[in-house]
Amino acid sequence: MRKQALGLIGRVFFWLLVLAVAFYTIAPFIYAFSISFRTNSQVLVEARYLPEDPSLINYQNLFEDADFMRTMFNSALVASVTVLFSLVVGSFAAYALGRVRFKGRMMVLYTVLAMTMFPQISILSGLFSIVNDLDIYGSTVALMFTYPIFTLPFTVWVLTSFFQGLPAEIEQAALVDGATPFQTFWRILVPLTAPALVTTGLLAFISAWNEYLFALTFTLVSKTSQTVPVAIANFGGYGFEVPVADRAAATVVVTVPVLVLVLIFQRRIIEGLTAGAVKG
Amino acid sequence: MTLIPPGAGRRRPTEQEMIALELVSGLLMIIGLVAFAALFYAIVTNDSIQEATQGPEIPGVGLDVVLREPEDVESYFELRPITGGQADLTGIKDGDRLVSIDRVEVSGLTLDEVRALIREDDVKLEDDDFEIVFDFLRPGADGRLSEAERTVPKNVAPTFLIAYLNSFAFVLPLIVISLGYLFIRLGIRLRRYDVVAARWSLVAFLWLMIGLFVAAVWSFWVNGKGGIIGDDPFDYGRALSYSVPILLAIIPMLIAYRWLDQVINEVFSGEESLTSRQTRFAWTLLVPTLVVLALVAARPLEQTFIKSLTDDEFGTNRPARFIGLDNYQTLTSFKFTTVPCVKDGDGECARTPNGSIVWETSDVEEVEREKLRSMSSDERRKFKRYDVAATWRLMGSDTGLRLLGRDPTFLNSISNTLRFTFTSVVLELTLGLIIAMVVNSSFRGRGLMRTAMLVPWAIPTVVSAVLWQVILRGDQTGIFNKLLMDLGLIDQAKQWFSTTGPWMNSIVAVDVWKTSPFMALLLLAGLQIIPADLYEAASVDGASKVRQFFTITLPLLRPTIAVALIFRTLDALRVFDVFQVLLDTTRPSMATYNYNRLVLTRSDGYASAVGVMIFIFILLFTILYVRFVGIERE
Repeated sequence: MRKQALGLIGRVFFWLLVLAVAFYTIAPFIYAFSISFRTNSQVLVEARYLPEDPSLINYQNLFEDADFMRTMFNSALVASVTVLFSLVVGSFAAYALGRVRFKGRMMVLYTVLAMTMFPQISILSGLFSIVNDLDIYGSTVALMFTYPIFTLPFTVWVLTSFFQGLPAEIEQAALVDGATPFQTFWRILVPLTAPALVTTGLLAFISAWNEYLFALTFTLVSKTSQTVPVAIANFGGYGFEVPVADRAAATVVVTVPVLVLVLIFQRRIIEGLTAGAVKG
Repeated sequence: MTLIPPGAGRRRPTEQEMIALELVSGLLMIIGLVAFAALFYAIVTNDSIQEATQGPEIPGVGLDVVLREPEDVESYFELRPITGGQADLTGIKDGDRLVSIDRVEVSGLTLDEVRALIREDDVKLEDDDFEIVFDFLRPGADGRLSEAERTVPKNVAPTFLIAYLNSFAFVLPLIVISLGYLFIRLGIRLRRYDVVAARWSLVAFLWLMIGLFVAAVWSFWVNGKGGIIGDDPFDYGRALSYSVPILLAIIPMLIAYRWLDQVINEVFSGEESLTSRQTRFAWTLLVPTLVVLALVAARPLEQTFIKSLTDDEFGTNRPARFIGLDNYQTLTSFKFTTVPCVKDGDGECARTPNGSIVWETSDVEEVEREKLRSMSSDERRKFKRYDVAATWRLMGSDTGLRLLGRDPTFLNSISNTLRFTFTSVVLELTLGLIIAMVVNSSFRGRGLMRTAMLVPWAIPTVVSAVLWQVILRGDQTGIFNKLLMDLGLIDQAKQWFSTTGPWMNSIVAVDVWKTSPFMALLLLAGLQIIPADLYEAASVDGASKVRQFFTITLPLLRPTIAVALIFRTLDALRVFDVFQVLLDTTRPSMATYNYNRLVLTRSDGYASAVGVMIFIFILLFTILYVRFVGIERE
């Protein structure tokens, strides 16, 4: 009898804990959502949990703002190009590093690992000079040029461990059938690692989308090249007051595609994230 | 024609094939020589190197355009140096000057023509918005501008060493020279009908063709688009004239490639081991990755190292000078001293209005001020005096421990970063573990829970910072303040991010919110590997849940925790986004300090030194971690 009572208390406590965690994670968005339906002047006057007079004015302003819509496009463009490039180049390298025994393999592998831990800020001044010399300062191309510094090592590292996990017999079987190494790679191994490619691509896409340092340094100067993080951080709103409600609406708009991505690919993302951590 | 001994290939080469081979190997050697020549040519025609050897061509400035109402003109390209060449009049707005017009561009023009040029450009100035100030171009008797007597001293040219290191240094020339050498060697070995050389030649041609194609596309785009921000129409003619020759260069290589591919198994001889074949295959696949890493990582890193030894600054025409380790000396100088506090009427330590203690000036500061007084104004500008970084009250006394440094902001940035890292990592690990254990037990809606946990990680850090900035607004319109006041926890709205408020805690809270779910997911994966039987067996033996946690969960989770710890710590040491968005420049992290030095004060050389210090810092941490936490790598 007592055990049942304890069990019940335990379960209630457990569910409270679950709800608390869920609330902790989601509450800020709920608030942003609520505040986005109030006008900025209302927000600046009084704090409320719920909007007093819900209106869509903030969203209207946002969607009519060509600049802002453009930043979403820029982010998508830069992230897609970078990820595509990293996946192609990275899968080549990962195959070599993961399945071929050659002299210098460990050295290259360690270099790639070192690159993932590299502080990007340290080479900012060097990169700045190079971007200037190449005449791409202020354009999204500057980002497409510099993002591989973190997407490529990451892609190589994750894909290498995937390639390593494939059974060795595959190449031997293909060799017996007379395939060249490249054919083995292209026709057999790549399709096999397709799920890994999707996962890695996703994670790289998210990290490129979220990147702020390079985007700030190279695109702040040009309104038409800015990406999402830069635009949100420097969001001036549409009036002369501090644009709190506008910012909230912008936050909501920007989070929605991410939410969609996460909802659809939730399992893949988690697999990808944890593969690195658990296998070490 | 050299006599080639017939190889042990399947058959002897025909006359034609021998000639073709000569051509192909010749092509390889030519490519190698072209590489050397191109490097030499690039060095010799480089602008700053020419200046260094011949002296600057155009010292000083011809005309200045001074704005009457500087505030009305938008400043743009703040960081972009003025480009010479065409009469490119859009440039830096520097105080009230719009641009300095070079002597070469406008001599011979009349003043009216110059005004027309200025009105014409993007800035949209009218005649009465600006006035022209003469430097050493004056209108002569015919109304045209010509050089008056030069009273401005010649600009100093960069030294050859600086000019060379800035533009070329070691990484790029080394790569070009190695490639040149490789190609020449390949060409020579090919003539011996060596099959291994032939196979490597195929690889070499293949990547060279791909590289040339990429270069052609790049050149097409760069040369066609004209100015960066300009709305110039795409100049197809120019783009094509630069890119087509590159494309044409591909043709001979394509022919060589195809011919080699056809005859390779017939005419070439020699054995190749499987290892050798595999090695070549591996390096072939690694070429693009290595090229990218060389260009985007190795070269910038090298450039940052080199710049850190100079006093380079953006936007000035003054060339950089070698100052050796001066920047590093400034960054790492620090002194400790003690100071008593200023006493008020009651014999207690006096306090400022916002509650901090007022301290006396220390002897060190007095000494530094004396030094300043005895210096000339030139020396004063260069002198970096010791200034206060922070003062901490020694427990239970009225004296404070004072830290001074030549760059107190940098010292503070180190302290901020370390405090942030330590606090956030500990909190995130703990909270993450708790969340992971909660989610680990199976319950309905677990999948939804995991999705919710992913969202803070997936949104840009900047977005979460802005979000929390809204929630933690420092007056009563902030919802968090309202919540706390409604719950009766505080009386008055708190300023969460102001310099006198709990800003470090607020920043850490934002980061913890964003990252704990992610940590939880990592730890969750580790938890799920632990077999449930272990727990069952322990329960049967009568071990409590708490004991189970410490004897089963923690030890088995150790490798996962170690990995999560390393990556999270390294990320925290590099923190940029939250500090940049939520705080001002007086409270930097190491990364934001580097950024501010680069972008706000435009001290290229100094910022590079900061960057190198950060790099060393992170390196030391990594080494320490790998030693003590001990991750096993194969």
